[in-house]
Amino acid sequence: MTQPEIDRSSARRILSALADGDATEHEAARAFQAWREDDDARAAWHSYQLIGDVLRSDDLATEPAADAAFLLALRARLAAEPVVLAPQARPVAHDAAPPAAARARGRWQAPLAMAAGFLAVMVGFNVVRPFAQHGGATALASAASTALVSAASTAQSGGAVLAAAVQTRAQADADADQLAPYLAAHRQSTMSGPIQMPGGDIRSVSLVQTAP
Amino acid sequence: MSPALSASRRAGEVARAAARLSAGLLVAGLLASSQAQAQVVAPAPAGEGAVDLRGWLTRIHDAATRSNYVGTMVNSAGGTVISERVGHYCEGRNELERIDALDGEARSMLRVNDEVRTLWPRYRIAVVEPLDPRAAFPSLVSGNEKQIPDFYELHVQPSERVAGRLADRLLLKARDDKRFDHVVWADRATGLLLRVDVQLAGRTLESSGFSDVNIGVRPDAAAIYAELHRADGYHVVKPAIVPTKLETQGWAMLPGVVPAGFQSLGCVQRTLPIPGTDAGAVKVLQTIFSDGLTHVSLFIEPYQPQRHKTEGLTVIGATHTLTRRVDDVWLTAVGDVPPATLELFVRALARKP
Repeated sequence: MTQPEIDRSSARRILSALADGDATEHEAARAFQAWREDDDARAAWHSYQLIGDVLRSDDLATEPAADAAFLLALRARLAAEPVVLAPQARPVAHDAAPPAAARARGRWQAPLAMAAGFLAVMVGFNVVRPFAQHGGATALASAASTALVSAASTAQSGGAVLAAAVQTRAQADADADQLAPYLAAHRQSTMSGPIQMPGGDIRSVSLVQTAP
Repeated sequence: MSPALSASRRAGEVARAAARLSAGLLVAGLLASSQAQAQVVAPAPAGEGAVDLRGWLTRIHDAATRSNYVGTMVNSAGGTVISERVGHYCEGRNELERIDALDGEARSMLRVNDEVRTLWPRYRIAVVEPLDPRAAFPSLVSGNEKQIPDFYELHVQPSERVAGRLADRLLLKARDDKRFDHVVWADRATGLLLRVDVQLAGRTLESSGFSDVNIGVRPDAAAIYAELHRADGYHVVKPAIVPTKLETQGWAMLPGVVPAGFQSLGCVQRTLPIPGTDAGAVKVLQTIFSDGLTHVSLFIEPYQPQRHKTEGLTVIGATHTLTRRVDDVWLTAVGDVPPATLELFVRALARKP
């Protein structure tokens, strides 16, 4: 047996121990080094994880290269668009078809979003609209009520200013659905306040939105 | 493949998590130990002043993180009441917590140290998140609690009974109109928070508290581990949160406009699940501000006319949300603060010169 082979086999043993939670700190450090430097070690590590995953669910079985490919793609994606939210020249038309990159982003984000689509409790939802001028007409146009749809079309054609406080239940619910993720994110980010009640934020989340 | 292997792997996961955390907990323990000793000498600070307020907050924090308790927590806001079952245990170096929602969609939140798993049995989904994005918001725990006395006045009020226990009642009265008053009931014997009310001019906007609680129970970590194991096979989702800076994203906050006392705790880029969008999610920038006691989040994202329809204010109990379109961006400011305070945050945001 040559020296590298001995190293490799011992690295495998340590990786296996690590996967089972039995590695010492020193062994863990060696395993991490092997994982960084050795393709075979990474493949082995994947196998150990896969075994555990398959024990739980067949759905978790993936190609050995998938982990690395996903990580690489994710890193490339993050590196490529750190300024996606930076101010930029106002687009000529908001309704233009999304660029290919945006559509591609949509594809890989979709499964995550479908699964993670949890929403906050909207307790005592109470909407005040002191200055809802923009989009008032479109909001109403999307409402289910026939009467309100006709009111909205009046507003759209005549440009009349509708009473800002007029809201259908359907629209209030739609607004609640839109706002809930922001509330959940805010509360999740601020759970460690000095007088936060024990048990985290009771109001945080209440519903999973699953895709069909 | 034997079940034993699987069990061993899971035990290994817990052990690894514990090992990963032990270093951090040690540091936290060292930092806290001096406070703990002070607490033994002076269990219930009395009187007014900055020193006393810090004493109270330390006592409350220690009780929340170090005691073993089980109880039913009730939240009342805007005429709606929801409740949950809360269990918190310290076992060795590990801090464990379990919260089961009693209303609405069935869900359980299981926390082992700084990792939180929210389990949704009906959908067989486990959402894995850090307790709070402390890694992403390093200054969230760096303690701008020091400045609380500058913006809130402490009044120790006559003690009251809450959830069957004698409680010290504290009023943290806002010194200006940029924030709400907070009334806090802390257990006389242990310091554990029993109830918190958010008030405006003596009117309660929202209240959270135990309806019943047992403090000093025997830790039941096994039940939490068993529940974690029961969720094996759930689809695991880890929402991505990437730390960034407002400035590198091309933004700045106008210092004279940001409400007094609120300091930036950090900025992250994250994905929010939004039903009805093409991807089912949108990427936003979130900046968090705090005056030491309460937090405000400002979300920034590109304006999308099909989705961003309603500008204005939404009120849920004490939580106010202000949405506003500014040119080609859509702003959402959220916090337990008066609407005028959110308005200042929205107006303070400017493009970096």
